[in-house]
Parts: sequence; C-alpha cells; structure tokens
Amino acid sequence: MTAAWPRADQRLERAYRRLLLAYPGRYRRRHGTEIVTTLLEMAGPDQHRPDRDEAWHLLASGLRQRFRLPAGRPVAWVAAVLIALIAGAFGAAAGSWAGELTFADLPAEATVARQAAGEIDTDQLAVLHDASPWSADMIFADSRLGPGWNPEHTEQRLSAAGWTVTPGAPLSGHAVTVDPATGAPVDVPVRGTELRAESHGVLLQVRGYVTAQTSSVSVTGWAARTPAYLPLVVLGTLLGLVAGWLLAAAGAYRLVRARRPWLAATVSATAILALVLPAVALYGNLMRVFRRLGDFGPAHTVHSAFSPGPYYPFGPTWQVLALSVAGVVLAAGALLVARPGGSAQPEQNPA
Amino acid sequence: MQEPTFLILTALAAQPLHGYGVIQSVTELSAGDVKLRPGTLYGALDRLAEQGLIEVDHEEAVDGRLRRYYRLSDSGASALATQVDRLRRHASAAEAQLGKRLGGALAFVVPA
Repeated sequence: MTAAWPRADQRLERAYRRLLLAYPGRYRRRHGTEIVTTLLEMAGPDQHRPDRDEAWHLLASGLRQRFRLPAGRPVAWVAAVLIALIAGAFGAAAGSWAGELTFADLPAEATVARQAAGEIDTDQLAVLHDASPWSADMIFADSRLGPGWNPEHTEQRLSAAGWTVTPGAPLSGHAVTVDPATGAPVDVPVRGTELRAESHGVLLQVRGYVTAQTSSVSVTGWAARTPAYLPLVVLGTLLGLVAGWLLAAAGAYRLVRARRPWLAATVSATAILALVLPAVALYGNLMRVFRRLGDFGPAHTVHSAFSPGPYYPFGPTWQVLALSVAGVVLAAGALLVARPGGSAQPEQNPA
Repeated sequence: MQEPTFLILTALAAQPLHGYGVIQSVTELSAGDVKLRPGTLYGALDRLAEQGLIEVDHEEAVDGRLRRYYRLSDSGASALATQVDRLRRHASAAEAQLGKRLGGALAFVVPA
C-alpha cells in the first residue's frame, strides 16, 4: 500500500531545496528529492515555510555531512588529516603573503646609501636585495669612503631625509692589514658607530667603521611587521585546515565512486608525498614567525619558504616551490581521474 | 551502537520502510521518546548503507517526489541481534543488582 503523496506547497518546497544547499552536491543529487519528500510528508497542512528550528537542523546536518568521511575506511582518515595539515600550511603561507602586502615598500638601496653616506661614486657602492627563504625581503648597501667618516653627518643627512634617527652607539671593531715589508699581519685600530633609523614603517640599521686610511658605511633596511600580519597568518592557517578537511572529505567520496579508484588513490598519494617537504618548510617558518617575534631584523614570514634558497641543506634551491607546484598539479590530476563514472548507485535528478 | 541507530535498524527489521515510515516507526517503537529529525535520519541511513547494514529495497517516484525504501541486510540483522543480546545481558545484570539492593534494604529492616 502506498500512502498518499504529499501535496506540494511551492514556497515550502523551494525553501527546503534552498536549505539543502548546505549539503554536498553529490549527497544532494542522491538524496535531495528523497529528503524533500520526507520533509513535505512531515509538514503540517498549513505550513508554508520551514520553522526556525527545522531550518537550523537542516543547515547543521548539511554542514556535518560535508565534513564526514566514508565509513569504515581508516586510510581516508589518515589521508584527511595529512591533507588538512598540508592545506593549513598553504593557508598560513597565503595569510602571510597577504600580511606582507600591508608592509611598507622598501626604498632603493642606492637612495638610502646616499642618505647615510653622502654622495659617493657608484663603483664604491655595493648593493643587494635579499629574498631569504625564512624572512621578508631586506636591502643592503655598502659604501666605501675616504678616511674620516663622521656619524653626526650621517645622522643629520638621515634626519633631513625624513628619518627618525636613534643616536649612535659605539661598535667595537677589529681590522687586520698586511705589513708590505714583512708580510706579517698587523692590527689596525678601528672605530665604529651604529645608528638606527625609522620612517613610514621602514627600519634602517647603519654601521660605519673608520680606520686611519678608509671608512665604510653599510646600511641594512627592512619593513617593520604591521599589526595586521599575525591575525592574517592565524586566519589563513585556520581556513586552510578547514578547507583541507573539506577537500579531503569530498575527494574521499569521489574516490570511492571513481571509475579507476586505484589510479586516483595512487595519484593522490603522490600529491601528498610531493607536498610534504613544502608543508614542513612552511610550518617551520610558521613556528619561527611566532617564536622570534622580538627579533631585530626583517620579519620572519611563512611564504618566504617559496623563495629560492637553501631552506633545506639538500636538493636544489627551488625545490620547495617546484614540489609545491608539482603537488598541486598532481592533486588536480587526482580529482580529475576520480571524476564520477563507475558509480554503482543511481543518481536521481532533482526536480 | 547509538540509540537512534538501534531504533532505525529495529524499525527496518520487520519490513522495508521509506524515510517518513522510519520516523513514524521509531516514534512508535520508542513510545514517543525518540523523535527522529530528517537530517539525523538521512545522516544515519547514509552511514548504515556505507557499512552495509541496510540496503535500498525499491523506489517509488511520482512527479518530483521520491520514496526510497530501505531494508535490513543480513549483516544488519546479525548486528541488530548482537546488540539485542548485549542489551538483554545488561538489562538482566541491572535487574539482578537492583534485586540485591532491595534484599539488602530488607535485611536491614528484619535482621536475621
């Protein structure tokens, strides 16, 4: 005996269908019409919209379904934890990248060199823009001058250029030269001074050394960390963890019903393997960001791990970036290979 | 096994039922104690089907409406039987313990 089919109230049905959008697409395609039928059967004769309690219950059930993994598959749990952690690392990098966009732009090296040391010939100036795999960019400028550099002049020039200067502190220094007659090393007396300067979120460390024959002034500059940076990193990490879990859950269901599940699983596992080294590098940087908050120097950043450099004591300098790209391509490939096709369960067309 | 799961399997033990049928049956079986909500029901049905404890019996579809009937599988029946044994053992153990308590109380009133 078939009970009477529920009468369709268009508004109520539309409202239920909207609430079912909280469920994952594959689940909605399989169970959507079935659930709506049950909801309409349970609805009172004069009901035109879901009551609030019912609406929250459906939304919560739908979201919970998005986080669920297929039952009785421990490997899916292990993979989901790994994928969530990897995505958390990339989320932290994305937050860090967005955070660094709020940092001040660095001035040109030659400009700060001239502000610190005065007019100098280009051949007496060595500059470097350093992108390290651990921290934000920094600039170096090293000027060679004649004897008699005066820290007070540097202080005046920097102040005139708009820098807030912290007065100099003496530096101990040590220089060695070679006696031209005997070839023996000779100690040369050195006087050094360090100044610090700040302007619009950029910090400079100026160090000058003076001997009887020559002076050198080196400037190191970097952008100060802004208050937005750390919250963006935390937010990025959390979003990454959640997104990673959702991706793993969706991927696991896709894989279970894939036409070639073993191929999809192998490609997924390779993607995870490729992403392990980049993720560990990013987490290493994330820890440094929080453990070295008080360091004087360029801010530690998470996404700097993608900069070419000797992050790991092995492998080529570009391996973190290359493995990340390879991992993401493989992950996309795995999702493509796992596209539905071999499903044993019939899908229903939503009305 | 959680109570809603136990009651859903119990509801499907006698005959195949569709979603609303399961909800009505569970309310009846639990004497109104457990009122399943659709989100909970379909979450549980999906999980039970993945575990192979229930399977789809047949479907009735009319004009944008769908009733999918579920039945207890053989492994679902044995899982339910195991759980029934377990609950029966626990219930008799509890009864025995309560009996001792009553006996103790009487012994206090009427010392031997």
